[in-house]
Amino acid sequence: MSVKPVKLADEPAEPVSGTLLELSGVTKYFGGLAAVQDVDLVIKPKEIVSVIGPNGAGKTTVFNLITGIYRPTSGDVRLDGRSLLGLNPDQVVKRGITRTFQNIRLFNNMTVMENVLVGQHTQLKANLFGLLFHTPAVVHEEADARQRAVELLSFFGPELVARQEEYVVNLSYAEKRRVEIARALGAKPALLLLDEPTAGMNEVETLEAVKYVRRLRDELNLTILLIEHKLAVTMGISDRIAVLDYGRKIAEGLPEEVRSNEKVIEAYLGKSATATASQNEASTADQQAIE
Amino acid sequence: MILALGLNIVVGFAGLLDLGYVAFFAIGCYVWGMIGSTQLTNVLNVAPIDPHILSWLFWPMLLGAALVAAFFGVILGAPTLRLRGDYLAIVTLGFGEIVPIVLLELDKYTNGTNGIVGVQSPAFFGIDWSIITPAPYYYLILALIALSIFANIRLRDSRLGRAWIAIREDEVAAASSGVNLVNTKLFAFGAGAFFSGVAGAYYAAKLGGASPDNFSFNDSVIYLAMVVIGGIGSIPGVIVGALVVYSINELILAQLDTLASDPTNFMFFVRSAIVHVIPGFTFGNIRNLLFGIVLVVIMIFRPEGLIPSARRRRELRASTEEAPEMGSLDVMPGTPGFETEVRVE
Repeated sequence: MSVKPVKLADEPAEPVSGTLLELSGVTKYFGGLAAVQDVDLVIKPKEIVSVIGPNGAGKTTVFNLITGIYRPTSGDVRLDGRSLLGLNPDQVVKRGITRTFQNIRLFNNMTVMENVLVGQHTQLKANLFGLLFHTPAVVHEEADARQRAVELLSFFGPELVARQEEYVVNLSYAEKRRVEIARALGAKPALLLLDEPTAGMNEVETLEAVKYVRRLRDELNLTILLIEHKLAVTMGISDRIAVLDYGRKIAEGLPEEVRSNEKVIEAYLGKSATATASQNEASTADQQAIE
Repeated sequence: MILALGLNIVVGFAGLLDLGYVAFFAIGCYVWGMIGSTQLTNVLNVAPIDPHILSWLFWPMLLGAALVAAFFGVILGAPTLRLRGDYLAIVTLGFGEIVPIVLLELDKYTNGTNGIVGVQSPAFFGIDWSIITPAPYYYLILALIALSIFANIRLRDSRLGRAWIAIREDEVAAASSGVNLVNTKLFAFGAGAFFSGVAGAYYAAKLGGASPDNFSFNDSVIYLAMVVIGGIGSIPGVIVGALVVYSINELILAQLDTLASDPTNFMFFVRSAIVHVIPGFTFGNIRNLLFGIVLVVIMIFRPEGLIPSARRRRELRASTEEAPEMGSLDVMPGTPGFETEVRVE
């Protein structure tokens, strides 16, 4: 059914060992419909792994299964060898997985700063007594949180820092995406899940996004699992790619391997499509993506 | 006003529509009512506590009543907070109806319809707290209001306050940012009920008694109206809203007939003009109608409340310009007008 996962011969810049996240036989039924079926996936520290697939292939469902929004019907999700099954979303965040959403879910009527501060919720320890009486520890913690929020925003350049007191609805689409990532970084995650980080962006913004996804990995030592629709982007930034179709993993491997995989081409373009056409398309787009 | 501030936490910050808020007020009221009179000692068949000591007990029991109310807030919240929006409103509405009925029917403990009488006033060094002198009560309530405002502001600007607002904005995103939905919502319910318990204990002490018919659905709606008229989620707004709603309802409208009986007053002519058309007319008959009209007019001209929070103002303006998707709770600015109309019928 699925292509054997390919061992990576040459690992990215830094050698990685061990497994950060492991999905084994994850299955999710909605009623009689199998949204995700028997998916295995292994993500190593400091990897950028993409999940691709046609619409309705179950990509976002996989994200929801990892983050505890859905519970798998069967199978197991493990982070650092410990199962995440049965945890609520907020407990998953505490374990070190945060995410962004396909159709940006920011707190629209809160400021940029407040959004990022909510992201740090799990990092703040203030109890009721502390916050009512403003004990020195709480005052200090709050100041630190703001400082850190500014740092997180400055990761994306000075623009967001300058606009930190603005309500997020007033931001541009690309800026909202960045704030959402900054919010996700607030909880100091080990693994960041990005659900279509370039959806709805123009070419310039997409390139920008590709750059900071790489920087997230390189500068912040994050492991990144992303869902992406734009093949060019996926090919450009992923260490490995997993392809879903109708809830099943039909392929996994290096970008070049996946690109030439017949099942993938079939899933994307239909049976009659010629392999050459898709390859041409992918490689030109690829070049655009790699700066 | 304390009630309005407490309700503001639940409705304004956390976005949980609570239509039975008065239940917690009743609970707070009965806690001090039972303990502060001979009621509890009678029921338990133990020797009554010396009234002098009992009076001093008011202070710890102010906190005690609040904690009991908060406890019931959590009890109510635990099973119901999975519900959202309208469903939650209905359950809380039911709770608001049940509590006074329970207090009414448990007549072995609460004296049923007669209520509790002879509740002790608080004691404080050298101050006369007899019912005839309102001054000490006035300063006491001022102090309690000040404390409530202070606590409200601190809560709002804390990580907890942010989590409440985040939940109101988007539950899934809040959970995915590490906010524990259940605990945080329970806390909002508990905190809201806490303030209402404080107010209840004060009320029992001030009236010197507690009676089950002081707590009707109407009262819940009035408190909600205070929050909405003032500006949902805005602390200064809620303070002003409480003053405005209270003074319209209890001072201006209640005084209309008195004013109209004075021949030198303008209202005298208004009334005599109407009496020509409708015999037997008094302002008292249409008081609720007038109250409703005033509230509706306020909501038409200031849909975001008298002193809206910056958040709310922005949100409402955006909704007319861009009309973003709205959840069931976001429609709330529409309901106050509706609420008041319901009240008028």
